[in-house]
Amino acid sequence: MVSRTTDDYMALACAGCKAVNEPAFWAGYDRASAQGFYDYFRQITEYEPKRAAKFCIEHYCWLCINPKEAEDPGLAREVMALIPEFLKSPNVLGIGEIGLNKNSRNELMILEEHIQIAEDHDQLILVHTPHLEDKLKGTKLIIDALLNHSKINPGRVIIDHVEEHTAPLSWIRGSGQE
Amino acid sequence: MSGNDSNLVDLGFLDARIKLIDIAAFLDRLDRHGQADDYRVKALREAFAELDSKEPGRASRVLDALSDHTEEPIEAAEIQGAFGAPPETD
Repeated sequence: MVSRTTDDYMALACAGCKAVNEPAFWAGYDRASAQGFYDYFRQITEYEPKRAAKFCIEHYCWLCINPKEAEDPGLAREVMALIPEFLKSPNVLGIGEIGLNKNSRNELMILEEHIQIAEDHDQLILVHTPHLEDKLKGTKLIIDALLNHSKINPGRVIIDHVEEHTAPLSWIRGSGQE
Repeated sequence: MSGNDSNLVDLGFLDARIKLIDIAAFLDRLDRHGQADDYRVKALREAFAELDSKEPGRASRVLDALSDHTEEPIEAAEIQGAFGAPPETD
């Protein structure tokens, strides 16, 4: 919702919307430092809930560094180190949108570390799957990574952005009915 | 069609007709400008076969045809976007 105007909140309220949930997302450019993410996490845990409340809308969010910015593991780890402090915020639903973008080794490594944070803090997981030609391969790699964490309950994982060719994969493998 | 069903042909035919003509016109433009050999266009042409299939699941198979079917992660992400079809491999 950080990219939405106050008029958008008004339109949501008029349409009967009671709550929104906002995954941590790529800003349209790569942030230069972890401090930028600290401010962003404050924005979606402190400021946006207040802005939404003015329109009687409950605001919830998810925390992570989006896979689009996961190619720099040093920066990604600095950002992930910030997450536990914000998990105490009452509007935080879990870790997300984590996942893959171009299906690179660094993205996969940072995905694994996000899953570990969710496991360590008993958090829900919201998954972003890649776009276009990368979606099928990325969805398979993501599901493998999730299933490698035996303590992750598939019932506490949402795989988003599925399409006709990846929805059955997510349902069947995610529910352990292979 | 049962009495309670919407007529999906009424609802969707003109939209599908427009999209089909758009694709035909796109291919004509590519031919005129000598750009029909692009790897994305080749992938698109291969996916067209699914449109004539009589088997349900066409959308899934079109998406499959336009997907990267390699299994190993790439070494590094050099871009953040995607192109809609996997690059040709030698």
